[in-house]
Amino acid sequence: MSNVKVVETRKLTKIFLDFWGRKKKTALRALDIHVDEGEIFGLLGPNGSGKTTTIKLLLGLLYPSEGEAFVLGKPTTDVKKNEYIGYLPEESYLYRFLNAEETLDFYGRLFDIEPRVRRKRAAELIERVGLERDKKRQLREYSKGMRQRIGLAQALINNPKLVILDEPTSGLDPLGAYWMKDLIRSLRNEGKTVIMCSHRLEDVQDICDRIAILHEGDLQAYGKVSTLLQDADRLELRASNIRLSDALKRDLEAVVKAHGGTLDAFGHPTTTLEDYFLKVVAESKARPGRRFLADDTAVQSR
Amino acid sequence: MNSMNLNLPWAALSLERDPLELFQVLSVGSTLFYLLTVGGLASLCAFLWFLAGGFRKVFALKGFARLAVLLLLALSVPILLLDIASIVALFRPLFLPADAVISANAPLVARPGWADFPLAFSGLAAILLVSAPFVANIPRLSPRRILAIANLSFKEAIRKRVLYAFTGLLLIVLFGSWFIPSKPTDELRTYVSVVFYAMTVVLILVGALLAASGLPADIRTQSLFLIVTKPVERVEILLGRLIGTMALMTLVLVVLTSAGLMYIIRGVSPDAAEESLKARLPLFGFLEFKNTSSAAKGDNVGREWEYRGYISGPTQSATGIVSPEASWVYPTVPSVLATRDKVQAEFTFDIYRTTKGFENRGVGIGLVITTRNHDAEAMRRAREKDPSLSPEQIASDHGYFQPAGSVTFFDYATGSVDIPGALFANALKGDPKLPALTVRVTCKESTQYVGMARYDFYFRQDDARAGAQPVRFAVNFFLASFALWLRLLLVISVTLVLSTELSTVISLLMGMVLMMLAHVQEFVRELVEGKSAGGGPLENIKRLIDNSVAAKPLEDTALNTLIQQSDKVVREVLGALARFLPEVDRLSYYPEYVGNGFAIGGADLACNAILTIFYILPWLLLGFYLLRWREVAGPT
Repeated sequence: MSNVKVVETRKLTKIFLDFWGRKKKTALRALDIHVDEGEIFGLLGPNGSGKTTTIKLLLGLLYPSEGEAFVLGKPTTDVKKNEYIGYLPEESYLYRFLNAEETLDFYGRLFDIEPRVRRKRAAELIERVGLERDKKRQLREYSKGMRQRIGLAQALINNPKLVILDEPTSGLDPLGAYWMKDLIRSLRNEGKTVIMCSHRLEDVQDICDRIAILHEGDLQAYGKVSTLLQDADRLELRASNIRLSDALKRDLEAVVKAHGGTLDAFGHPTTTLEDYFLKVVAESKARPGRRFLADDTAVQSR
Repeated sequence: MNSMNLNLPWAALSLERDPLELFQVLSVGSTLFYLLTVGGLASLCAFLWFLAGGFRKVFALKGFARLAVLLLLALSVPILLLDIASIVALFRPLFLPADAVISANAPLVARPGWADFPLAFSGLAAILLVSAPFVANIPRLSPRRILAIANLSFKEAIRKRVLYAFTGLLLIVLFGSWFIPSKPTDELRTYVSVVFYAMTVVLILVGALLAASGLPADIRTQSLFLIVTKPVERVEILLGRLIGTMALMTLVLVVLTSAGLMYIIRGVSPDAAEESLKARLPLFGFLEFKNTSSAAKGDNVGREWEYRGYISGPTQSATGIVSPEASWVYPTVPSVLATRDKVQAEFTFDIYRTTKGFENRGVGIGLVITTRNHDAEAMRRAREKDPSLSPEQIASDHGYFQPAGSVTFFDYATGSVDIPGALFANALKGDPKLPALTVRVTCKESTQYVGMARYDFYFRQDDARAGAQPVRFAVNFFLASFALWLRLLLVISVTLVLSTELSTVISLLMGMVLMMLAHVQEFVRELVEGKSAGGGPLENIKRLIDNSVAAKPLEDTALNTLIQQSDKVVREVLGALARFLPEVDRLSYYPEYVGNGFAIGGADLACNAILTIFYILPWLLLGFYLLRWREVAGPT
């Protein structure tokens, strides 16, 4: 991560007006944030909090009512900035009468990329998102997950510096969500900056370096995920190669009490359901035909 | 010698409006009219924008750009003042006495005066002002992006199968003439009109539908989000959609024209093919009248449509018997006519009767053709010397031809006369400053009037005895198809621009209403000029409610006076709006040429193409601004 500001907003405000020019809703109020080069930045908030409005303002889909925003040093109304941006919307708004190859070719042409480079890059991206076998099928035949994959591929066709992802894991199964998060991390590793907004807080916590939390158009929290989530009043202890016992509990209580604290709980940690699910799927792939009975015994059916 | 044929029903082209010529379209008057109309609109838009906050952007500009914008704004002020005065003038009938006569909708620059030039310059400044952002955008436009979007529109229409149902329907309609009985003389006319009518209705509807649905669908499904977040100029989307839709419709038009042409060429009877499957190439002269009330327009017999001028039969005047005369003057004649044995002249005149005629008897006319070398005295002497001189010899030696016997013709039926080619050989000689050929027509019957316009008399430049000419006919057929293409371009452009801001249904409806109004411009003009039966629109509504007949004058009540005065305002507003209607009526006339076997004039078609393009340009500019200002995303 560097200190180069890829995105910067200054008092960015969006007020929606009705037909007669009367104020209908303030979707975003005086937002001041910046996103540094090479980081994954998360925009969080409940429905109607202003996160999608912020993204649309950054992309030039909406025009600011007040304040200003810059992407890669250019005003958001400057079309040239789009040369360096990749955007994956929440829903896949791709043309469903095109197939994967045609889709990437079309968006590649919008970036004025040479045909030879376009074809090479499209082939690489189709392989990267795992759609090689389905590249000739029209997108109307694709599942939600497949559409999200080709959507991501189109967002990367121009090898962007900034990737904006709106709910990238929405509607994906856990495997798809895991794949998407892995890919987002790899984008950061390639030096790209990523802005994502999501309702799935565990995803944001997993991959984002910094976040901004919005509520009813106002910025409520903003900073590093690790800093924001740190609970300074509580202490976490982790140990390996040790079993639970009453003696251990008594010793720990004594140590904590001696330092003026109280032992709230202790026990074996639990993994996340996502990790457990991924482990089960991985094992199933490793041993095809194995299944579990109701009494938790495994049988090999094939 | 029987040189006279009458009632040639195979070819009965009767032009009701002069074909356009390039010098008319590119004339000072037309240019001024365009600059004043479009410039007036541009200045109004520019100043509204300026007042609505644009001034901040202007003052934010730096250096030369700010100076240039301010200068253009200042130069646009006169035309803006004219706009304001014109708008205020729309309501003047309300403040005038009820019986005041108002000259509605007089063309602004029928005869350009000196005052029009500074105003037109002001209009030009306003046009430059509003087009500057578009022009500045041009270097940033990428053909690759535009073609990508065009290609997308093309694929979209094909893969969404919008065309299939319509094309299927069209194929049935195209062959509709199988089920329409027609006389052999009308066969080709019927075939051509069925084919073109079917193509026009279906293609314009499909084209407008495709144009109106593309962008709103993209906005509704938010597919446009992904396009505008790429380095795409908004106007590229508009141009791409226009090119894509037009490319598709062009392909369909070419296929259908070819199918229609094959169907006609194979389906038409040998007799009809022999007579009508050709493209006559007429040679027109310049018409002037003598011994009538106007040298340019002849006599006026009170017809509402003042296209033709009339000549009466011989009349008694103070100086003796005077014979009004219509002359077609040909400054030059093509040398190819001199090589022919016979050259056919054809004519279609109107009869205005002041006394009842006889059944199956036409009106007699005198027809004399002379060249610039004609010397009446020398000819008289030669005839006296040798009374057996043939018409060909007289034509060759004395530049004179008069058909043998009496020439009669029927109302709006095409007659023809064979002229010796030697006459044209004679016309090629002599002083080039004098007109090569003059055709004089007089009316022989004193109680009848004969009406004629410039294009009512012509010589056939093509060989009248050549029989069927399928290749020339096919070229002509495709030229008429090109006129349909221009209409498609017009409809698609207008509907597409409307769809940048409006929904599919509303854009389609507005586009269709505009085209319908353009087609009934005659009626709109009558309405504006107060010539329509039953008064203006409000008066007609009142009559509908009261169930009163149109001929009965309204009673003299306060309400009726208010209605009639308001109608005058409505007429003024309609008159102002009518100036913005396209001239599609001219484009719809070409199948008549093809059906009657007349070559379509290249200059006329080129003029219409120029008019269409210049009509579309302000619309595209409007589309540029609508898309540029439009926030693609909504609040959600």
